[in-house]
Amino acid sequence: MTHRLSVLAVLMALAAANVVFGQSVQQTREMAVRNDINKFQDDDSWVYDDFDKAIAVAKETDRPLMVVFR
Amino acid sequence: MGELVDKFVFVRLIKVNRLDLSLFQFDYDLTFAAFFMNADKTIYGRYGTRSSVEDAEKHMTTEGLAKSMQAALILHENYPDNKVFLAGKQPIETRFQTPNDIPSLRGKYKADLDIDGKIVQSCLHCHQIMDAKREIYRSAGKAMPDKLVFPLPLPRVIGFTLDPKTRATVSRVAAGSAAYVAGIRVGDELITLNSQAIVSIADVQWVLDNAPSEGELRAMVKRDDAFLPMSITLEQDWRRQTDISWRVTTWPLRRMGTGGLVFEPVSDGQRNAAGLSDELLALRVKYVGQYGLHAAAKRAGFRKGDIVISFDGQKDNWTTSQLLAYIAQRTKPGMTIPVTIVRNGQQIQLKLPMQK
Repeated sequence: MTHRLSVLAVLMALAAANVVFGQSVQQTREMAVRNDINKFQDDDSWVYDDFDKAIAVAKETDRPLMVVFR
Repeated sequence: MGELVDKFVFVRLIKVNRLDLSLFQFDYDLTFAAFFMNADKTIYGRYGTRSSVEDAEKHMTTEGLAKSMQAALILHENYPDNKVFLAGKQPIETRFQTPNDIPSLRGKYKADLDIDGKIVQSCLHCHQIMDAKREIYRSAGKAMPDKLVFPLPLPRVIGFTLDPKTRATVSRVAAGSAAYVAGIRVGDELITLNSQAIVSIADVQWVLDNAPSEGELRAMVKRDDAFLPMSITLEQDWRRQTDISWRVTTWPLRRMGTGGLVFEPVSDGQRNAAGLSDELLALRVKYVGQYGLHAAAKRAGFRKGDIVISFDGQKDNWTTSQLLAYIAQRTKPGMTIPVTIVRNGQQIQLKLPMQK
């Protein structure tokens, strides 16, 4: 359940975060990037910036990948 | 969406600097993009669509994303028997394996982000990929191809709109459009387009992006319980109706050919008040760039509020997108373009330098 809530929260937050990323204020972008790193790096429901690892997990568990950019 | 979450492996990729362009081909002007794919890198679908600056997420909803994910799961469950419906969704051959291979980006960004230092400056932005591809043509004095000027057209270009809360349900059809003539109606569910299984609006854009400049698109739609085959005719230059004016990637095009001017349309009422025809060019200067190459128009004498009525002798009733396409395809750096403007009721001739 924790895993589910975490992924859901992040997916929904992504959309909201986009508004911040649309702004051109450098400081805001910097904060957003760092917040993003903190959020994902500490969240084991996401594979963070390691495509090979994600591929391996997908093979092992026979699950499809959802690869997110923003 | 909760029950879907356990069924995917979620991966967040942040280093565009060395992005595999032979695999990840998508709309580089987005604020959010996702791929659904198999572990063997077969792409099931793409997600993420945008059509304006102000409302960047208009085409993306949690409900729509969940339905796209459900569709991707069904494709996964039936893989590889359904490969025929996925073939057209795979990446197309590219000259550049990573952004770093594109000449104007080569060596500018290290593979890794400077996380402990200037992280923003160390991060290549997705839109720079498109910018760099266009610069290849501009610096060589060659016309940019339509596909590069009008990337990933929205389905409204051929006359229909999809409900962002659905996988691919038609919410609007423009009377008389190619979609309307083909028989597509509001409420239809788009199942395949050119034999590609459709999981999102972005998937339709992918089909359109790789469609010919003229020809037929084969569609399968579900209406009530019936599956209906349809054929959508693409008239010559259909792609050129695409609106690109909202795209971040138009910024360098403005540098190249408007000298930093940003335009807005002039309404019929405003045209009448100014004594301008509603069938000829009329674009009002909304913003004048102030610095560097983006101040070329300012130096040439343009001011906010000026109305452009002739550009290089062309007086067709262009949109901003069509004007930018003319710049990308018909001008070269070093040229000087005559421009006629209306200011305070007077016509004035100015000269605008075309730039790299």
